[in-house]
Formats: sequence, C-alpha cells, structure tokens
Amino acid sequence: MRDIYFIYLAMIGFIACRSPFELDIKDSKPLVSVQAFIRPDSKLKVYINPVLAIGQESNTSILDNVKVKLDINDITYELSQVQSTEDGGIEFESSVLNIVQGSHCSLNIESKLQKTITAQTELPSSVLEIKQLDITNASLLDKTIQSLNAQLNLKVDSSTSDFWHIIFRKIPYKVDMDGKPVPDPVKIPEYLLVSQVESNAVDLYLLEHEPGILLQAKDSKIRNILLSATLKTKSEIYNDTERFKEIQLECRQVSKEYFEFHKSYYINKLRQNAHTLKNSEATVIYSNIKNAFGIFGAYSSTYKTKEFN
Amino acid sequence: MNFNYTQVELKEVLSQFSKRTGYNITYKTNIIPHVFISANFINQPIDNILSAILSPFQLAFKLVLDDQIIISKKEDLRKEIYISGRVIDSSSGEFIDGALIIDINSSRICYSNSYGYFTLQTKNENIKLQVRYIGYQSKTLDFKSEKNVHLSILLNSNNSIPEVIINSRNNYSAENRSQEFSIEEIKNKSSLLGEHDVIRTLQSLPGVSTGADGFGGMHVRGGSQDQNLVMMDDVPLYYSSHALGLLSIFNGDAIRNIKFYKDRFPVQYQNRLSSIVDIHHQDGNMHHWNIDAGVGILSSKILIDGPLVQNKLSILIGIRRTNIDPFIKELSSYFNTLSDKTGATQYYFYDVNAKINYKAGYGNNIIMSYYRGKDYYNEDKIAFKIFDTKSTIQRKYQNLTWSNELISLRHQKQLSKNIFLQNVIYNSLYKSASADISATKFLVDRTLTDSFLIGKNNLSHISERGITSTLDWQLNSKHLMKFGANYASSSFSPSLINFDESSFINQDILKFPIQQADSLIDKNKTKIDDLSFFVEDRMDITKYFFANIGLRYSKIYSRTKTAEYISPRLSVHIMTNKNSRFSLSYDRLFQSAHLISTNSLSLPSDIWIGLTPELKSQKANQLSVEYHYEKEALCNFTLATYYKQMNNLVHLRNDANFNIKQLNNFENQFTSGSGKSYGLEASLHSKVTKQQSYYLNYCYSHTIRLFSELNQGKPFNYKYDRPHQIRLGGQILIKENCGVNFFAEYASGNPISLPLGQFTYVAIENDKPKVKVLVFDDVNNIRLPYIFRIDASMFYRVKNSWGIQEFTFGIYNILNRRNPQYIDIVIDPFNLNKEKYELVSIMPILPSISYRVTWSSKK
Repeated sequence: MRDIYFIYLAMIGFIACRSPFELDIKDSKPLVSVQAFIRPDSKLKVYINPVLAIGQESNTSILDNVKVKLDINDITYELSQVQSTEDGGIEFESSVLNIVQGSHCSLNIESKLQKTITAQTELPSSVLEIKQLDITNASLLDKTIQSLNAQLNLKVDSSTSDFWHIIFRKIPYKVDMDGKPVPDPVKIPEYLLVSQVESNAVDLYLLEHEPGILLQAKDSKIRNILLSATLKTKSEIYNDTERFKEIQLECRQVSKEYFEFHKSYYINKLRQNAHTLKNSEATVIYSNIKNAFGIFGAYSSTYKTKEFN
Repeated sequence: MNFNYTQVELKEVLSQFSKRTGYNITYKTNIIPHVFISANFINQPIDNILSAILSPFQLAFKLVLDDQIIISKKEDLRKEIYISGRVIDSSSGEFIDGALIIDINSSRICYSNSYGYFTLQTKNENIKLQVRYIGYQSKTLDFKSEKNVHLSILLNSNNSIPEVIINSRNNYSAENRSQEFSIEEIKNKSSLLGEHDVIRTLQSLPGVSTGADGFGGMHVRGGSQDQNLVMMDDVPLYYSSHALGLLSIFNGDAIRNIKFYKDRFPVQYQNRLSSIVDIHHQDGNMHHWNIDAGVGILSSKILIDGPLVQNKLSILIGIRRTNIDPFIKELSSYFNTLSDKTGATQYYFYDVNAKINYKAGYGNNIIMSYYRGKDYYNEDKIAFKIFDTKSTIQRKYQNLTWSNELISLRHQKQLSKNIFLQNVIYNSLYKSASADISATKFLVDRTLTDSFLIGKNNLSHISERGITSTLDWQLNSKHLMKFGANYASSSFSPSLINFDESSFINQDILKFPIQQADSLIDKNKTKIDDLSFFVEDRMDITKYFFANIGLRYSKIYSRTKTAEYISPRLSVHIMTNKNSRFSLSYDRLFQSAHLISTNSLSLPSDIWIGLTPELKSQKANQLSVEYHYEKEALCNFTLATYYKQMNNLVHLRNDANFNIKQLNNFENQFTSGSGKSYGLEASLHSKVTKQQSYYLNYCYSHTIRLFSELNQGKPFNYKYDRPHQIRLGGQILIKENCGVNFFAEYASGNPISLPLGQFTYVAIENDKPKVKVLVFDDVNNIRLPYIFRIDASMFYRVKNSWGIQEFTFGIYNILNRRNPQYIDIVIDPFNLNKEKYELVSIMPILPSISYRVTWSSKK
C-alpha cells in the first residue's frame, strides 16, 4: 500500500506541471524606461534603458537617434550622450546645473522610433536643517559587523515639502604610518544598513535598493523630526583597525515623484516573494514618465558628519 | 310558488325567476351556459326551484341579503378545506424539503417547506395528490374528504431503481425555487480522487466561474468569493474548502439537500451580493441504524446514524480525514534529501459532523448540530550550499492553517395547520493563519557576511453569533407569507504584516519567530451587530401569473456608525403554457463583511474585515430575466440573462503597506470601487432514455471592476472574468449495478497581471548593485490560455444481504492537459542570468479508486 502511494504521489509530482509561456507584448506599448534625478549644483544623468521582456537579453534598436532636452524654468538645456549601458541602454549627461529651490523641471526625449517621452518634476521649495546628530553604542556584532545607534533631530517645514530620504555612510579610514586609523580621502563613503528606526512624526520606509530611510510627514504641521536608528556595516570588518570613527549623514528633501517611485518599489518587493507572482497580486510601480516607464525626480541634500568613539 | 317554462334559455329563466320572486340575482355571465331548458314547478319552495334549475349545471346559490341571491359554481361556494402534512423519507424518517405536491383535480400545487411541511387548500372533496421529489419515487394519493386533513407522506428513495434522474426546476407557483440538488445528483457527477463534492457540482453550473481545476474559489455572476453566502444547517460559513479549494468541507455522504440561488434571493438569508448556497445535512435516521464508510485516494470517512429512541431521538456522526499525510511527509523528505535539503512537507485535513435530532411531538423538532473541520499545511526546509570557503544556508517556511467550528440549535414547530415556526441559535468560528518566510545567510569561512529575510504573516479570525426566527404562514392557497427576524453579532480580527531582516537585528535570522501577527489581532478588531427584519409574500395572482415580493430591513451597528439598509426583492413568473415559464426578477442586496484578497488564488490566507470608518457596506442591484421550458421529466431548457451593478467593493490600495513597523494605519490600506457584470446563460438537461441523461450548458459573461486608485482610474477585467464557458456532462447506466459518468469543460482563460518586462534601475548610491524593476501595464492585462478538461468515472455496486458495496474508478483530466493556474517568473536553468515565464498547472491526469460500503439494520 505504502509503495503504491509513493508511486502515485511521485507520478503526480513528476507530471505536474510547468511549461514555458510566451508573453505577447503589444507593439503599441512603450518599451523604454527613463531614470533621472535632478539636484542643484550637479550634472543631471539620464539613463534610457529598454524595457526587456522577461528572458530577453538586450534590445538597442529602439534607442537610435535619441535627443534629450531639459527645461528648467523655461530655460532649455540639451544633454549629450556619454556612454551606453550594459543592458543596451544609453546615458546622457548635462552640464552642472544651477537650479534653485522650487524650480520646475521638464524632461523631453525624442527618438525616431518612439513617441516623444516627457516628464516633469519640481525641486522641493524648502531645505531641511540637521539640528543634531548623536551616535551611541558603537560596537561589533558577531565580531565582524560594526553597529551603532544614531539619534537625529531635523528641522523641517512639512507645509511646503513633506518627503525626505536619509542616508547614513561611514567615512572610510585607513591605517597611517603609526598604525592609527585615519580618514581615507580616496575611498568613497560606503552606505550603512539601517534597522530598528523609530519616529512618531513620519511614516518610514527602509529602502534597500537606494539604501536609507524614506520619510513622509504624517501631517502638514510637522516642524521637527526626532528619529533614532540602528546602523550597521554591510560588509564584515576583519580587525579593529578597520573600524570607522566618523559618520556622514545625508538628508535629502525629495520631490513627490521621487518619494512615490521609491515607496512603490519598496512595497512591491515587500509584498512579493522575489519574483513569485502566484501568491501576490501585482503592485504597479509608480512612474511619472509619459510614453515610457521610470522616474524623473528631484532632490536637494544637506550633509553633516560626526566623529564618535 | 308555481313556476314553469318550455325551451327557454337559462339566463332568461333566471331573469323571469328574479321578476317573479323579487330577488336580485347576481352571477358572472361566463358561468351560465347557453342552454334551453323546460320545467314545471307546482307549489314548490323558492329555494327548491332554484336548486333544481341550477344543479344540473354544477351551479349553486347563496342568499346574502334579504333580497340578494348570488349564483356561483358549486365548488366556489364550498368551504375550503386544508390538506396539510409532512413529506418524509420512508427509510430514514427524515423530512424532505422542496417536494412538489400537486392536487390533480384542482390543479393546485405547493412545495414542502424547509421543514418538510406543506399546506394546500381546495374546495374539491375528491382529492388526488401527486407527490414528487428528485431522487424519490413519485407517489399518488386518491381520497375523499370534506374536512381538513393532515397527512404524513412517505416517499421511497430511488436507490433501488436503476434510472437516471434529471433535475426538474419548473416553477408552478410564486415560490422562488432555487436550483436544488439531492445527494444522488451529486453522486451522479464525476468525482475527483473518489470524492463527490458539492461545490464542484455547483461550479459546473452556468454563471459560476473558478480557477482551473476548481482552485480559486467560486465566483458567481462576476461576484467575488466573499459575496457567496454558504450556509451549513442554517449557520453561515466563511471558508468552505479543504485542500486550498480542491474539495469542499461538506462530507457528501452526510448531505441531505443543497439549494443554490444566484438571483431571486429569499429574504430570510443574510445579505450577500452574489449567491446563496444552503446546505443541510441529514438529521439522523429515526427508524434504523446505518453505517456508510469509504476509503479513497485522498481520505477515508465514516458516517453512522440511527435512533437512540425509536422514532423519537436520533443521532448522526460523520468523520472524514486524509489518509495521505504520512506519505506526503515521507516522500517530501526523501526528495528534499536528494537536493541537499532537510525538512518535510505536512498536510492533513479532517472534519467531524454530529447531530442530535429530537422529536418532541408531532410537528415539533429540536435539532442540535456541530461541525468542526481543520486544514493544516506546513513546509519547513533548510538548504545548505557550499562553494569552497563560501557557504549559503537558506530556510524556507510556509504554513497555512484554517478551521471552522459551528454549533447550532434549531427548533421547528408547526403552530397550526398553516403556520410553521423555526428558531435557530448559532455560533460560527473561523480561523485562518498563514506564514511565508524565507531567510538566507551568507558565510565565508563560517563568518557571517550578509543575510537576507523576507516574510509575511496573515491572520483572520471571525466569530459570529446569531439568532434567527422565521414564520411561514400559508394564508390561503394563493398566498404564502414569510416573516422573521435575525440578529447576528460578528467580530472580525484581521492581521496582515510584511517584514524583512531589519526586524531581526542582533539575532540569528534562521531562528525567526513563525507567527508574529497574533498580538495585532485585537488592535485591528471590528465588530458588527446586524438586526434584520424580513417579510415575503408569494402570490399566485392568476393560474398563470405569480409574483414574489420581499423586503429585508437591516440596521447595522459598527464601532463608528449606524446604518440602515432596505433590500427589496421582486420576481414575477408568467406561465406561457403548461411547459414553459418566463420570469423577471430584481434584487437589491448589500453586505457588511469584506474579504481582502492578498493573493491571486483566493487562498484561505485572504483576510476578512468588517466595516471601518472608510469602508461602507457592499451593495448590488441585479436584474435578471429567465425563460424555462420543461417537457415532463424528460427535458428542460433554461435561458437567462442578467445585469448586475456592484458598489463599495474593496481592494488593497496599490501602495498598501503592511510593514510590521508601520501598523498604526491598517484601516487606511484599502480602497473602494465598483463593478458590473452581465451575461447570458443557457442550459439543457435531457433524459434520453431511462438509462441515459445528459446536460449541456453555456455561459457568456463579462465582468469589470473600476477603482479610482487602481489602474489609473481605468476599468479592468475582474480576475475570474471568463467570457465563454461550456460544460457537458452525463450519466449512462450500463447495467442495474453499473454506470459511467463523464464531464467535459471548456472555459476562456482568466485575466492576470503580468509584467511586460523589466528595466535596470541604476541607484544614485554608487556602491549599490543595480536592481531590476518590473514593468506592469494595465491591471489584469494578460489572459491565461483556455481551460479544457474531460473527466470520467465508473461505478460498480454489489448488493449483499447485509448491505451494499460500491467500487468507483475515476480518471480526472483524461487528456492530461496542463490547464493554466498561474504564471511564474523563474531562472532559466540553462542560463542563470536569464529569466523566463513558466505556466504552472496543478492537476495532471489523476486516476483514482475508491471503495464504499453501506450497512443498514433495516431488514
């Protein structure tokens, strides 16, 4: 009896039941993604990538003869192509942009094979102020991961802008001639993982794809945000001299489009288990790109560094 | 008085009589025949003369005032007599609900009510009753009576007669007859894994759609799963399936009858927008003991019923449990070992039915029912992968458990010859819990370098207590009134959370706690008190025109508001001739409970919520028109069309966020919208010979949803919208003890949301690896391929002196067609950098064998 059941169940297991499925994407749909984040005193990078069907490896034919223009408060800038991306996409870059808070920005992309792609965003009209940053409980976890607690006090004005993105980075250190750890000016600051965040004035989203904390004010009367978080290094530290002693905080005042895109990506990942679609209904990822997909957002940053023991 | 006339027309005779006597005579002209008569009355009393004139023509008269005579047909003036009684199964002593009782002489008809009682009025003293019910031999009673009579009519089951049956559904009165199924009809359908299933039978009806192979719940005329009210012995159920929808929780052997409504909703049922499934189990044999036991591929079951006190007190106990679980565990463990994993999969279900039926006197019954059923699925496996100094440990945990527990006490009493009362007190508990967690640790030389965890927990607890009182009052042969009240108090305790590794800082993520949502249940709890009153009048306006008017008034008390709802129901039926009927109905419905779908398969991990400040009761208006033709019991054809508008439907918001750290706004995660559905349904049942019957049905339908916050405010197809569905089935009796059943189904594919593709997101943060962003177009933008399946089964019965043995051999999905369930995105095993779509089907060809034995103490 036992053997019969085994054979029966094994038969069901082997016969069931996966087969390839070809998705017929309609030709009229836009098949391009655009990604660009504008900020003051920086070059604007615009990534134009093909939307690749699942299983498709690259598609460059739709990205021929592309022209990218940027309008900031009715002044037009033409971006130049700098390189191709590994997915068959292309990257455009502007000169350093001198834009002010509250500027209205429009992106316009033309190509022979696509409808004109457009998108708008606005640089938030106020800048937040970092009033206080305290670091406590710096320690090692599992003898390899450096951990610390950060307490943050931000002065904001949620009546004019109520979306923020906070990123913590470690300032890289090196060992000097005397064997003492000192800041390494060559290495780029590395982001820190964030966990156990608490704040009663904002809704929080812990981003992985753009590491940091995305914040949204709970109401328009907020003028102050108190926030505490546990931070840790994403890679292991093999000896005590590699411990960093200085932290960099970047606080971004972000546009609504920036916030909605990252929030929807975060929720999409959280509600689905990787790419398994069976257990979740799809969460559509926010896009403000007309005739394509993706994001055109804006932000301005305020920095603060803090040494600790 | 002297009065004579020769070859004078009757009307003229009456006129002369009136002049001579001074009495005013009134009559309907159509009852006076055009005949010429002669007579000679000498010194006769006036009443004798008039009687002598009228009696040859079956006419009689009545003196109503001092000078007023009314002439009527004799039967019109005769006092009406009541023929009342109960229709009972001769074998078990159980009453029969829905039997058709026809008085052939007066052409009056009625149906036995839910308690088996019926009342018929007639003025004809010669009574010829014919009593019919599907699955039973018809019975004719011929007798004479001038007084009220009370009958107990015993019907013999058709079991011993090798004849196929078809369900006759013609309406001869205003009563809203549902689509009804006897247990024999369900057993005539093809089985799945040897199990004859109620819900699968319903899923074969036009207007009912589901996922492939029955997964995905039951969706009636574009409604969602929560819009079906499923009642077990007058107690509402909140999830009625075992094995993720493969089978219903109803033990087919214990069922007495099923009623299914998709329009013309009777008012006594609690409100739901799309359908009512009313299932009654047997109440226990009052005369002798029976044992019915069976073993199938999936489960084993036993049903015992019989009298504790002969014809006074009976008991019924039915138990069913999976017998496949040890093999699933062992086999899954074996396959895991082959792929360097540890752990196993466990699955089982069981259900228990128990009933005590006490006859307190004639027409006075007390029945206590209990049901408990549970499903448990658990998969916990750990995979180790080692490459040189690097290693990965991954733990995957999935758990899904759900249970129902119902208890009810019913009291049925015949208060007088034409008034019946039923009181029901009940308690219904439903609990479901699911966890889906995946954790991975990356190590180099046994040192942790990175870790990753993603998980979700859903919990849904419902407790409903209620009392319902229903009074059936047969005013006269043309009016049946139904009155009643219902009070139900329901509490909904949902919890839905998502979490990731950031919730497990400073601890080994492989030792994650399994259920984290318990503590949140009370926080999200909502309570609804529903007080309803209802009234319904079934009227036979003329011999060919019937109407049914009903009204249900409800007052809903919730935490934040009180609301009142009035649900009118109207249906009219016109008999176009003795074989055909035309019906028109309108139903206005609402419901307070909402089921939030968190997956695309309508799994029990979906959560129920009550009313919140933002969520209103769902509402629907449905208009349907039906033509029905029936030729004796040989053939019937139904053509129906409907239009349904639904409002205040609930869906998860696109940005709904159930992160465990942000659970202070659970109620704000939902959005409201509307939907509409329309369709055309046709069905044909035919009994070709005594041994062969077939049915064919077709449905065209279209269902859309419209939510301002979803799909950019554009309408989108409902996830179980299947424009075309065709089903063909039949039964052929080869010999007296042997027969074949078959079933074939074609259905259009249902729409799903699939990403059109993906693009690479380049993070602003330089050291962050690029991620893929899935691009979705419209919601439910792609249709799955169509479904096509053929099933067949064969039974063979052996009748012994001590009972009956039955062997059933069945093949599910004979063609082994891979009917699409959903589509997954997987890594291409031949190119690890490439992904591909895979269409997943669940049920391949499934042969099954089952054995059943029945024993009865009846000699």
